[in-house]
Amino acid sequence: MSTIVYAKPYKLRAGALALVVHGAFFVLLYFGASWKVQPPQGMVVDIWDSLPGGEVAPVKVEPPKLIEQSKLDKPMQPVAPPKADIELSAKKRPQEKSKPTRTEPKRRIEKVDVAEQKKQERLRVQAEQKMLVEQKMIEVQKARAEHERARAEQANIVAKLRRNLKAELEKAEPPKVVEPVKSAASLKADFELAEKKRLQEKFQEAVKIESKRQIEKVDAHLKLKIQAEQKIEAEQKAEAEHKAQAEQKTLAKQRAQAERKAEAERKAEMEQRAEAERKAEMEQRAEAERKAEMEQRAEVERKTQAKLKILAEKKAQAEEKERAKQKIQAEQKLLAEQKEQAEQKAQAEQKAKVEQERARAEQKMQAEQERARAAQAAAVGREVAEYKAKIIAKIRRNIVMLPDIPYNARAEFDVTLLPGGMVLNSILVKPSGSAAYDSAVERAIKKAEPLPLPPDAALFSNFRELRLKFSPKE
Amino acid sequence: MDVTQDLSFIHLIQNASVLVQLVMGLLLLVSLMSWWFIFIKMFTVRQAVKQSEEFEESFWNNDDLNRLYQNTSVMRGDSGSMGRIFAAGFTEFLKLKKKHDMDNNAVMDGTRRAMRATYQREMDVLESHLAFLATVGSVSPYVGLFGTVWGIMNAFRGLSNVGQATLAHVAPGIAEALVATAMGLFAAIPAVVAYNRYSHDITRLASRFEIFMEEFSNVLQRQP
Repeated sequence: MSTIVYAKPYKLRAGALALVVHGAFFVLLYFGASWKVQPPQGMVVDIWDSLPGGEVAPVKVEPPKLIEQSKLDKPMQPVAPPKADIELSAKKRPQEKSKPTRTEPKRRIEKVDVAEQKKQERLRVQAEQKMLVEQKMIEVQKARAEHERARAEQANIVAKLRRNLKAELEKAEPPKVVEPVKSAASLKADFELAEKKRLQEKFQEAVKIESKRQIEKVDAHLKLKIQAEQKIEAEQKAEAEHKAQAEQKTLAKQRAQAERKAEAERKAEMEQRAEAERKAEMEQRAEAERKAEMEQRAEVERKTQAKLKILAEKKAQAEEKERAKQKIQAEQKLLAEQKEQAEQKAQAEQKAKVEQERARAEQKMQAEQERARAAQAAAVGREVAEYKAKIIAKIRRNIVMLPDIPYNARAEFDVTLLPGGMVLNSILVKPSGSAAYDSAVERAIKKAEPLPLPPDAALFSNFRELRLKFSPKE
Repeated sequence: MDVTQDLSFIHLIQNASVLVQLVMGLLLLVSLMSWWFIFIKMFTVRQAVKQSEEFEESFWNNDDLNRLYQNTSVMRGDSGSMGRIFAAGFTEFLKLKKKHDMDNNAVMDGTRRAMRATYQREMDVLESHLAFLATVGSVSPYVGLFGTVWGIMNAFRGLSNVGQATLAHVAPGIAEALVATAMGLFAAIPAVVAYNRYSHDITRLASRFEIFMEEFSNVLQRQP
C-alpha cells in the first residue's frame, strides 16, 4: 500500500533517534553507576584506633622499638630480648601496625645512625690497628734492645777474655825482658812465649769464632724476627695504605665530583657570561648592522630619489612630447569623429527605415495571429456549440412528450457533467410552469447518459457546468 | 571480595554469566527495535492526523466533488488516508452510476463497500508494529526477570562452594543479575507508553474516518 511507501523516509530518522536514546541511556547508567565504585576511605584507621591499650604503652614501648629497629636494620645480628618483654612486644605489634607512618622517619634516622656507627667502627679498627702497630714497634724496639744487650754481653765477654789474656801475657812477659841475659832460659822462654803466642792466637781465634757464631746466630734470629715484623708491618702498612688509598680515592672522588660540580657551575657561569656577552655582542652587532642598514637605506633612498628626480624630469619631457602628440592625435580624432558622426547619421536613418518596415511587418503578423486565435476560438466555440447542440438534441430525443404541455413552456437546467459524460447532477433553474414537462426533461437528461462530449479532453472545462434550455416548440 | 571492587555498569555486564548476557543482548535488541517503531509510529500518526485535517477542510469548503476528485487523484499519496478513502468511494460510485440498470441503493452499497475496504487497508497500515510494541511492553519484563533469576541462582550456587558465606560473595552476582531486570524494564516502559498513546490516536483517527464515510455517502446519495 502507498502508506508503507510514504513511511519509508521516516525509518532512517527513527533508527537514528532510537540509537540516540539508547546512547543517552547508557551514558546515564555508566556515569550514574560508577560514582559508587570509590571505596569509603579511613575505614582501616577507625578499626585500629578502637583497640584498647593504645594509651598505656607509649613510654614502655620505646626500648623494644629500638630492638625492633635494630632487627629491621640488622636482621643478621642475634637479638636477645629480655623474657619479661614478651607482653610488651605483644602489645607493641598492634601499636606498630597502628602507627606505620611514624616508623618510617625513625628508620631513616636509624640509617643515619648506622652510617655513623660504621664510621665509628672504622675509626675503632684504625685505632686498634694503630695500637697493634705500636705494640709491634715496641716489641721490635725490645728485641733490638735485647740484641744490643747480647752484643754488649759478648763485648764484655770478649773484653774479659782479652783482659785475661793480657794478664797472662803480662805474667809471661817479664821473663821475656830477661831473655838476652839468659840465653838458655831465653830460648826456653822464647819457646814458651811462642807457644803462649800460639795458644793465645788459637784462643783468640776460638773466642772470635765463637763470638762470631753467637753474634751471627743472634743476628739471624733477630733478622728473622725483624723480617717477620717488617712483613707484618708491611702488610699492615699496605692494608692501611689500601684503606687510606680507598678513603683517599673516595675523598678524591668526592672532591673530584665537587670539583666537577664546581667546574660545571663555573662552566655554566662562564657559558652564561659568555652567552650574555655573545648576546650583548650580537645586540651590538645587530644595532651596528641596523645602523649600517639604515645608512645604506638612507643612501639607497637618496640615490633612488636622485634617480626618481632624473626619471621625473625624463617623464616630464616625455609627457610634453606625448601631449604634443596627443594634441595632434586629438585633432585627427576630431576629424575622424566628425566623419564617423556623419556616417552614423546615415546609418541611423537607414536603420529607422528598416525598423519601420519591421514594425509594419510585425503589426501585420500580430494581426494575422490575432485572426488565427480568433479563428481558433471561433473553432472552439463552434465545436462547443456543436456539442452543446448535440447534447441538447440527445436529451430532446429522450423527452417523452405528454399531451397537456403548453406550447410556450420553457425550462432551464443546470447540468454538471463528469469526464465520462455522466451527469453528476441536474438542477432545475427556471421551472417551465408545467411540472410534467420539468420532470419529463429531467428524466430525459438521466436517460441520455452518457452525453456526447468532444474527443479533445482540454475542452471538457467548457462542458463541466452547462445551462440547458428546453422548450417543446423546437 | 574486596571493597574496592569495580561495580561499574560495564563490569557488571562483563562478569555476568553467558545466559544472562544473552538475555541482556536480546533485551537490548528488542529495546532498539521498539524505540525504532516508536519513532516511526510517531511520525506516521502525526502525518496521518495532519493530512486528514487538511482533507476534511478542503472537502467541506469545496462544493464541486468532481474537482476535488481530480485534485485527490492528482495528489495521489499526499492526500492521506481520508483522501484515499474518498477517491476509492467516488470512483466506485461513478462506475456503478454508469450502469443504467443499477438501483440507487445498490450503488450506495457498492460505494460504501469500496470505501470500507480502503478504510480497512489504511487502518492495517496505521496499526502495523503496534502489536510489536504491545508484546515488548508485556513480555520484556518477564525476560529480564528470567535473566535475573538465572543470575541469582548462579550467585547462590557459587556461594555453596564457599565455606564462609558473606554478603560480599553474593552481592556482585545479584547486582549483575539485576541489570537484566533493569534492561527489561527499560525496554518495556516506553513500549507500553507508546502503545497506549498510539492505539488511542489511531482509534480516534478510525472514528474520524468512519464519520467521514457516513457523511460522504450521504452526500453521494443526495446526488441524483
